[in-house]
Amino acid sequence: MNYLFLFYLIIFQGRSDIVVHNAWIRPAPESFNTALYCTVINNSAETDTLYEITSDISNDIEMHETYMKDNLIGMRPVKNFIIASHDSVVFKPGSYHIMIMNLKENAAENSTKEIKLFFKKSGEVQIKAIVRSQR
Amino acid sequence: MKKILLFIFSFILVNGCNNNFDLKEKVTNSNLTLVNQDSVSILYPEVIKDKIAVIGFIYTHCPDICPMTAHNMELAEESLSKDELDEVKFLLISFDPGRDTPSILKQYADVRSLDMNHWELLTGKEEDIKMLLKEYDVKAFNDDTTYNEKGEPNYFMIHTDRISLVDKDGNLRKNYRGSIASPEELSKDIKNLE
Repeated sequence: MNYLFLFYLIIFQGRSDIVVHNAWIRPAPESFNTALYCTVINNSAETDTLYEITSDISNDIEMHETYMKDNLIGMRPVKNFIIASHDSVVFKPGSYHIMIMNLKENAAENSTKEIKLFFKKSGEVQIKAIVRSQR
Repeated sequence: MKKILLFIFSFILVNGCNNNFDLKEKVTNSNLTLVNQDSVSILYPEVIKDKIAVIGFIYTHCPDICPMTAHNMELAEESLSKDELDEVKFLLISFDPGRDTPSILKQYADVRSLDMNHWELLTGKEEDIKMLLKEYDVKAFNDDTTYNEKGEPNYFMIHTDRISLVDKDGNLRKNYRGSIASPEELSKDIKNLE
């Protein structure tokens, strides 16, 4: 029984219901705004809600969407993202993005930044995002 | 019969080549004094005289769309040979001159490692920028403004998503949606104008 429990721990320890892929940030100097992009997958059996994102690199991080109206382009905040079970949300250039405002430090190419994502059910998920140019 | 076929063939050939460019509008009607990333006064349209100009309209507080515009211009630049590049000027014009000072533009250029032999980032007096935007039919408006604890304004902008291609005679030849412009198409069009 103990062996079984140990096996369970080895296989499942640290496995989160939320998986974040391909997190990257556009390079930007200190005090500039930049954007974080990533894919957030909800592997749990329940719908979850991404409602907040924080990081030591900025006091002001918002989730945004880019929109087009009357041939003009703009951005507006999105309060939260409801992600159904086994579904995902993609933050990508020209679409949904995570806006990092007034950087407290340089986001230099090839550096990594720690980001925390908060979910109503899964709680806090920490990720590392690489700073790189768009490909 | 041969003459008719020859005429049709020539017509298709000539028009086929020109179809790439749907515009030919003079965009050098205003004489403006702008300022570049090094705080040097730049005269418009002198800055693009005898050059093919690739002009992107941006503001540096924009984290998503405007960097995509600059990126597409960079990719087009990368595909040109040194000789081809000598014929081209890449301009990024800020439609947010109140916040986009020369030093901010300099940092924007540095973080992208832009080759300043071919690039110029321009800001200026609000009335001059307005005049230039009118010339290119680019629109930009402030969204809701909030103020931080230092009293500095924070706002985003709603704007035309634009890269413009201008020939050596100062004629606007093509507009692209800046953020989704194809660098290959832009590069091909530049070469066709050379």
